[in-house]
Formats: sequence, structure tokens, C-alpha cells
Amino acid sequence: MARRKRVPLISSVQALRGIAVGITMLSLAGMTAYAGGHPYNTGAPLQPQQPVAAPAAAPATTTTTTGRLQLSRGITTTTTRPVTITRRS
Amino acid sequence: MTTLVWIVARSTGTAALVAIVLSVLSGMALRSGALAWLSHNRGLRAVHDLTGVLWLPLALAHVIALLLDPYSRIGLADLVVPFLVPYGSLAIGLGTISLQLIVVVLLSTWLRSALTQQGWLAIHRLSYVAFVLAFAHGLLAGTDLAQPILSALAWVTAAVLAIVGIRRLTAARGRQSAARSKTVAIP
Repeated sequence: MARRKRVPLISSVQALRGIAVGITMLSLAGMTAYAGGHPYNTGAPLQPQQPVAAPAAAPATTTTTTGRLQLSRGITTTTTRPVTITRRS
Repeated sequence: MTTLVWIVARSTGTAALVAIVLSVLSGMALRSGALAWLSHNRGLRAVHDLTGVLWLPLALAHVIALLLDPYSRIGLADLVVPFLVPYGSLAIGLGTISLQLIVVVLLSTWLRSALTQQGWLAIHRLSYVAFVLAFAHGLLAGTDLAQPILSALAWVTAAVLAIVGIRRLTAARGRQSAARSKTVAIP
């Protein structure tokens, strides 16, 4: 029994070329339309305009004062030995 | 004006990648018969030759648009030396290497008569490396491939190419083993 030769879906070379050009141009037109509607994508992997990662600054601490001099009652004492000695005659 | 250049850069980059996909697909199908249901080898050869030329103006437009776009901050030196861009150097550098490899492949095709068959084949196989690098460049640097739908399309295309690539490899192995058995059979 003779084996039947499989006939390809598209036998015209010109048609195949046209399809290849069509797919490429369709992607070009589609992407142009899409990019025109969405000029910037915040989820894009690259963001050229962002500054190069600067070292993180230490968080600034703020204290609120009353504007008056604060005096404390306590007297600080040290346990270090005195430098001078009082002589007794 | 800047926005227009940016849009051109994005759309031509994606379209160039599509043209390269068609080129690689038709090239692999030529030897493996993976697209025999679609067309005969003469048609696939015509598509392979056409897409090999089709991607070139698109890739050039992509590069020129990026050079003109102040937002992307890409200079002429970045076309020659990869990984120089101050941001995303790997992602953009892969694109530079890919472009250079494909230009070499294209030049080797034009100068085929001056090369040996083995030499030409060795250079021509660089197009697989170039395609993988271009795909990685699109994924790592592409503004639009970050979109889920486009990303899914890209991965499906890559899967199809991988399947055809495996068929191409198995077909080549089958031919080699058949040739070996013929050689052995001759007394």
C-alpha cells in the first residue's frame, strides 16, 4: 500500500513570508500602541532615573524641650581617688 | 519627543525579539522537520532568510532610540563594551553581547562562500547563544516583559523553542547513528 504524502498547511512561500512579516509587524504595532498607553511601568525591572542607592542615613531623633534650663537636684559623686592630699602638721 | 523615542525603543526591542524567535524557530525546524505540518522546507528556508534580515532594522532602531533617549542614559561606548551602564549593567550588557553575536552570525551568512562548511556552522550555532542572551536581556531589562501577560507569552514561546530544539538535537543524533550503522554494514 502506497504511503500518502503529508501535505503541509501552507505551501505558498509568499504566503509564509507574509505571515512572518505580519507577526513581526503586528507585534511592533501592538507594542507601540500598548507603550503609548503605558509610557512608564513602575514594575519594570530597570528604573534608570532612580539615583544610585545612597547609604541610608541614620534616623534623626528629635527631642522636645521647654526652652528652659533644666536643673537637677542630684549631686554626682565619683569613686576615683583624689589627686591632692591634705597634709596635717 | 522623549516619550516618543522611549516608546519606539520599547516596541522595536520587542518586535526584534519576535523576529529573532521566528528566525531561530524556522532554522531549527529546517533540520528537525518539527514544522513539516505547516510548510515544506523551501518555505521554512524562505522565512528563515527573511527573518534573518527582518530583525536587523528593528534592532538598529531599538539601539538608536535608546541612544537618543536621555532617560535610558546609554552611550555609544555601551554598544561596544558591555556592562558599562551605571544601572542594570548585567541586563543591558547581555543585550550588547547578544547584538554583537547576531551581527557576527549575519556577517558569516553573507560571507558563507568564503568560509568552510564547518567554520560557517560553528559561527552559525552562536545564534542559539545570542538568542538565549537576547531573551534574558528582554526579561531582565524589558519594561514590558514585566507585565504578566507578556511575560507568560515570552515563556510559552521559550518553551516551544526548547521543544523544537530538543527535536532538532534528537533528529541530528538519529542521523548520526544511522550514518554510523551504514558505515559498519559496508563490508
